Amino acid sequence: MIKQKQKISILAYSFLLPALAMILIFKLYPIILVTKESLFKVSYLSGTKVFVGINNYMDLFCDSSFWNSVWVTLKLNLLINPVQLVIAIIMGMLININHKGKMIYRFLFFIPLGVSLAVTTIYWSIIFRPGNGVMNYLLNGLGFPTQPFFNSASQAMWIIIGIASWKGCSFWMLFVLAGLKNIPKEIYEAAEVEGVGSLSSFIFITLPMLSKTLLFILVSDICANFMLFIPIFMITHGGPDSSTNVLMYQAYRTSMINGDMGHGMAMIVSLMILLSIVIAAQFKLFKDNE
Amino acid sequence: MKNFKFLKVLTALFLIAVTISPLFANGQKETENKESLRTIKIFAYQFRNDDNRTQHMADAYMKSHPDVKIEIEEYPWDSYFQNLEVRFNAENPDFDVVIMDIPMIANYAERGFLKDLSKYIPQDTFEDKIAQKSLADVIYKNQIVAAPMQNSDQYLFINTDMAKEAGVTLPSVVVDNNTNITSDFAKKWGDSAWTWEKTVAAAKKMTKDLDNDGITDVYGLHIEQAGRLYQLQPLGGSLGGSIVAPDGMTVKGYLDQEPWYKAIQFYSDLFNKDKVEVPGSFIPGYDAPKEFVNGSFAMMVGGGWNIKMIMENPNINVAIAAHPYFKDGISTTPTGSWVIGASASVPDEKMDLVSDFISWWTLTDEGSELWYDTNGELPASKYMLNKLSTNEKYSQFPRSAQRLGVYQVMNTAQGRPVTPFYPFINEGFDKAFTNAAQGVDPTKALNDAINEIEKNIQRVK
Repeated sequence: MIKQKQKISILAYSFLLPALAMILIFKLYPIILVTKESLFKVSYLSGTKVFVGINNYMDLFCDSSFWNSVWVTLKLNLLINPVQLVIAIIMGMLININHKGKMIYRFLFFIPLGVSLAVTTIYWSIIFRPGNGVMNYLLNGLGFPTQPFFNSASQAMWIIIGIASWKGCSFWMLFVLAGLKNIPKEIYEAAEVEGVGSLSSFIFITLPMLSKTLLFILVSDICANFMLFIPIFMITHGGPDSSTNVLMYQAYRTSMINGDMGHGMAMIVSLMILLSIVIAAQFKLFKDNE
Repeated sequence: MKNFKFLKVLTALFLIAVTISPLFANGQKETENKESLRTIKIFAYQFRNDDNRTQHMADAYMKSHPDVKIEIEEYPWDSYFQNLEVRFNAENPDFDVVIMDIPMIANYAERGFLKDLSKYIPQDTFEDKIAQKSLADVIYKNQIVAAPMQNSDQYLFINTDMAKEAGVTLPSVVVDNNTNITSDFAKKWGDSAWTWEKTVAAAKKMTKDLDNDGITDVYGLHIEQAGRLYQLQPLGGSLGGSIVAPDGMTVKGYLDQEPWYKAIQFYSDLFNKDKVEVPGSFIPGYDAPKEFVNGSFAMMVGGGWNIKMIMENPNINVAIAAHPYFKDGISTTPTGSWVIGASASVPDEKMDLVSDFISWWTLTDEGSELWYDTNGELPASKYMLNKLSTNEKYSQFPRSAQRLGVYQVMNTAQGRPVTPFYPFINEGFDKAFTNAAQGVDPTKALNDAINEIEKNIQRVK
């Protein structure tokens, strides 16, 4: 019996082996490398790489650009995640409820899923080009003044949020939709018999029944948006005046453009720790909720 | 049942084999080593228009050296330096020859990424074959760390139809498709350059809202590489400013001086006060030369690499004027371009081949002429500079226009800072000028950048 069990587990582990090897090589190993690199410093003048322990991390504490990037990353996440979650719920509801325009909504909401974030970014950069971009012509036609968009420290972040949400909301909507489909119709029918209105059934039935799905979306969305990079890399380069300089981009700039690998890798490890704290807090919330 | 068991064991063995097989994939190492000594791997910038220029040179070299194999790995501008940075930092960058932008070489050399070419090619040969200013730019700490492939030049392109319509009188000496360009002409042309003050006045006249809807349809002026050090250095340079100390160790006392505050204020005013510059040009991917020929703006300060495309476009009439300078300043122009070097990782037994290839491309008459004919950008070799100035073959426009570039190299060219900290300086400079153009107070933008540059220099010193 034990032998039989061992044989089965060998086969089971051999099936897991390729996937585990991939995780080890492409996920775990880079994390180890990044952490190792963050403990070294390259001296430009001697050309040597020296072990500096946690000095790169200590430097980060005194680095105002780093703290600005932490703040920008947190600000972006505080704004973008609730926006994406609420819109994804509304979109999911519009597709789930039976009404005449359901097919049109379904068609429109699924379009962003077929377009890559890079292509989306290019479209949005054309629409919101400062000066004579498409949006300025539209605004002007409606009697509004010309807007600086990506040239404005107060507007650029919102457009980045728009780009990421245009695609993100459609993606998260799929999970909302799956969650909505899992709520038994009988509950709504019973509520209807009891005279419960639409708003009340949404608040007291739909939202509680969706809570697990929504927590999953929130965790995944925060992970994705903490590492948001493409629109910033392709359009703003962290500007204007560092208003979109998220931690991911600051780390990329420090290590890949300036060649200061140790400092850049310390930022990546810090981002990883920050993200782990946020996720741990959410799992705690998830557990308490259960 | 037995067959099923056998199948299970086979599946398990197969999956284990697939997983661990890469660990044993070095069986052919010895043969590969012998072959690799006759293979040159080039890490190359994908030159404009993606027309396989590097491949063309490689093919010519392989034709005369049939036992040599050349492999090229190309990347476009947007991702070139990032990829190169990653590869240089790898244990083995896996290339022998590398094409680099000239201001980066001090940094690469300082970090031990490049071979000293003068160990393999006599310094006299470099001095005989390469223009003095170009050679000076590739010498770092008495080592020749790269060989100059070409140079660069800058012009003021003016849409003559728009100028006429706006009542703008062109500089007294300009170049069009029919101009016969000689060395004497180049001097007169250089002397007739507009001041920046005149250029802005003309740009204001040419900035138009064609349908009176409150949106500018045609801007007066655009500097091709928006916010970048290469093209904006002449603003401070014209007022006598230097960016970095002669030893390359600090920008304090240089970039924080009056000429640079004036320069950044001037650049900010183009966008925010005079409103003659294109506000959307900071978005990566903005194709300034194409926008110019499409009529989005009336004048462009741009590189000599645009001459052919702009002047041969049938839809636009353009005059080429000399690069502007400030009224109370001197005329300075950007210079420097791509260079070619050898990776420090190349084994000594392979350096003869690698240095021969670099020497053939940049120092021989045959190689430098073939490169110029293929690439068409201002040469760095003495042989080609001389031939370009005097030979009948290059007397026809637009090639002849590069005689103006020769004039710039000899008279107004000002190289970028030679310092291992160039990446920090370049990034800080770009950020300051971009922020200023986007509405941040110019003095604050420059001060913030200087502080960040100094902080970064101190950290990696």
